[in-house]
Amino acid sequence: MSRYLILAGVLAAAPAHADAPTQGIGAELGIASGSHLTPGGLRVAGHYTYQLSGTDWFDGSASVTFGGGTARCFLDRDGSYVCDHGLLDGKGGELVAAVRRMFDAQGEFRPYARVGVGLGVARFSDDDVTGLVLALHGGGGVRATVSDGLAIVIDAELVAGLGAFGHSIGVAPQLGLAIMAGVEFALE
Amino acid sequence: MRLEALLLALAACGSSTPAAPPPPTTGTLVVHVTSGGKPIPARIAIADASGAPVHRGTLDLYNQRQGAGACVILPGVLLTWSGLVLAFGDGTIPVNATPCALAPGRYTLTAWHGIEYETATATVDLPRAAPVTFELARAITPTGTLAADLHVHGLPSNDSTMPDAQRVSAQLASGLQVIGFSNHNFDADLNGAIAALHLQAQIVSIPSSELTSDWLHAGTYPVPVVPGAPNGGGPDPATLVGAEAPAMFAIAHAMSTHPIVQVNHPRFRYGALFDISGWDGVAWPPPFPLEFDAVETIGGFTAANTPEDRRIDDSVRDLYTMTDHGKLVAAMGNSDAHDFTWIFDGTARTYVYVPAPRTQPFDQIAFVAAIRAHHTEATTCPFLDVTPRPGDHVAARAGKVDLHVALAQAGFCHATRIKITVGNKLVLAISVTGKTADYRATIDVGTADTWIGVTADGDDALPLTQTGTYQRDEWKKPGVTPYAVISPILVDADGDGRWKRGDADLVLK
Repeated sequence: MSRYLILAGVLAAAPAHADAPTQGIGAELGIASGSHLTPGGLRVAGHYTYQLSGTDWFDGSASVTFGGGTARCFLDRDGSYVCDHGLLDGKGGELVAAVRRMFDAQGEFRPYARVGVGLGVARFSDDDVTGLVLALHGGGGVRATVSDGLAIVIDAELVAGLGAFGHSIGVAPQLGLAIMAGVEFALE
Repeated sequence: MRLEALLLALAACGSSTPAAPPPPTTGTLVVHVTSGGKPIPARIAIADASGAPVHRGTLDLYNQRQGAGACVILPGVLLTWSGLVLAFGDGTIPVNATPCALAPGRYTLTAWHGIEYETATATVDLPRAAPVTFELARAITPTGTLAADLHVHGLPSNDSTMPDAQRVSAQLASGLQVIGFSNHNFDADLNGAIAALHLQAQIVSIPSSELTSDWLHAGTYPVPVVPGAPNGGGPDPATLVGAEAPAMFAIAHAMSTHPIVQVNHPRFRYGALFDISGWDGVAWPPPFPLEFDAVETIGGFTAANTPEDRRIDDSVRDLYTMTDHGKLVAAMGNSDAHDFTWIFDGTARTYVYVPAPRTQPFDQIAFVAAIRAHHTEATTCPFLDVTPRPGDHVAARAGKVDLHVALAQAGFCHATRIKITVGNKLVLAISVTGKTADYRATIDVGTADTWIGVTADGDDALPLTQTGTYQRDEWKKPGVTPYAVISPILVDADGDGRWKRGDADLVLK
């Protein structure tokens, strides 16, 4: 118990990076690519960050993905329902809990890495296919401070996981790539 | 007398022993058809305790056949003159004494899903039967193909009354994936009915028309459909009815969609180009123009070989004669189904080898191109897996070609021989004794460009409950006989990259 108290004390006492606030919020816009049963398209995400240690921040996000496409599921000769959607097809929403590790600044830019886990929904309406998705996220980006309390971020991440879908599909893999850009504001 | 009856009734009421309740006269029959545990569309033939087929609905078509007279239990659940049609693999059928129900009694049910699966049978005692599940085992796996029936009729035809949704259900239940909705002089497809039943993942319709004259019937697909327009936007029937082959082919080729032109039932005697023109199937050139891409080598109305009438053999002879003279066409099999009685959907069908065998999205361009390139096999039940593929070309090495022929058939299909023909000469006949056969050989092909034909056939008719009763009703024949024929394989024997035979001099790509 005492170890946890010490850890909590250390975390609380850890100084914030001069260019990264203890708490912040952000918004990003970008492109996500999917295929098969992973939705892709225009992605909008909102972030909440909270400093956990000298280098690590909790990064919670909520995102929605708006893709296009038409019906692309069919019954194959074995009676299996196969979906073959394109890179930018489908719709999705996801909540992600991640940890963002900030690295030493390179001039005006501070690179970071992020890993997390997400829970979401994937939907391909023209095929009436919906799934519940559990996915691992991993990626990285760069944060550049523009002014006091305002920063620009650009990042990319890979998503891999599994989805449980209806329509007799069952469990299917999820694999996607997203490239996003946005702004972050300090809350304090 | 009335007083006595009253006294008896009163005595009965006072009896201390209650009368046994009468047996129930109503209920339901719940059926599921699956393959690998997944629901599969199917037809179920129903026989009563004496083994006689059970008929339901009415014979509305010429008082002889059932077009629109089936009982619609639910969309996709039909109780017909020839049994159940289940578009979704499930059905709940009422049991009572009304015309659109099964009466109490003992029945034998036989479920089937076209020619790619074995049948399954169960006996039920109604009305108190537990739900019945039929698990169908796959017998044929035609990898890389779409199963097509590119000549079927429905409501727009003057000789059919089949509603669109019922046609879709029947096609699906028989294992078809692509429907050519080819009504007489009427451009149409069934994609609206398919969408209404939410079946796009399983089946698709290519817009089609059967150009019909006194001289010939020519299937055309795809055609430009204009919903609501007279004849679906197709040519005026008045211009077609007297059209001979040259005019008919010209009309077809003038269409903006550049359709496949398919000579339908050329040996049907009626509306049959080869018969009516007097072609003997051997003489060359034949007495008609050759402006067509495909020939219905196996048509539903002529899908029977008997000792006195080798109608399918005649059609294969026609195909081989054309090939031997350099006129290449795709060998097609179609049901020409009009109803639920005479010829069932898919009784003859075509397997079309396509790059992406799917119905959604359906690559219609690739599908049509595959037919134009003769990558087809026509069959009534056996399946020939031949390498090189049907319609392909192969270069000979030192006058020889490697050939692999594998046959598969369900238990109700009895093909007993495979024939391999090279350059219109039968070079090999192989006996088949079971459901499968596998033959590999190096075939001598000589030094001049030639072709290889492969067929499989047998003499024992398929069950009428799986094909319809036309052959028996009209011609007193036992029924449809097993036959498969591939579009011939071209052999570049001299290795010059061209195929030169008869009138043909083709650059092989």
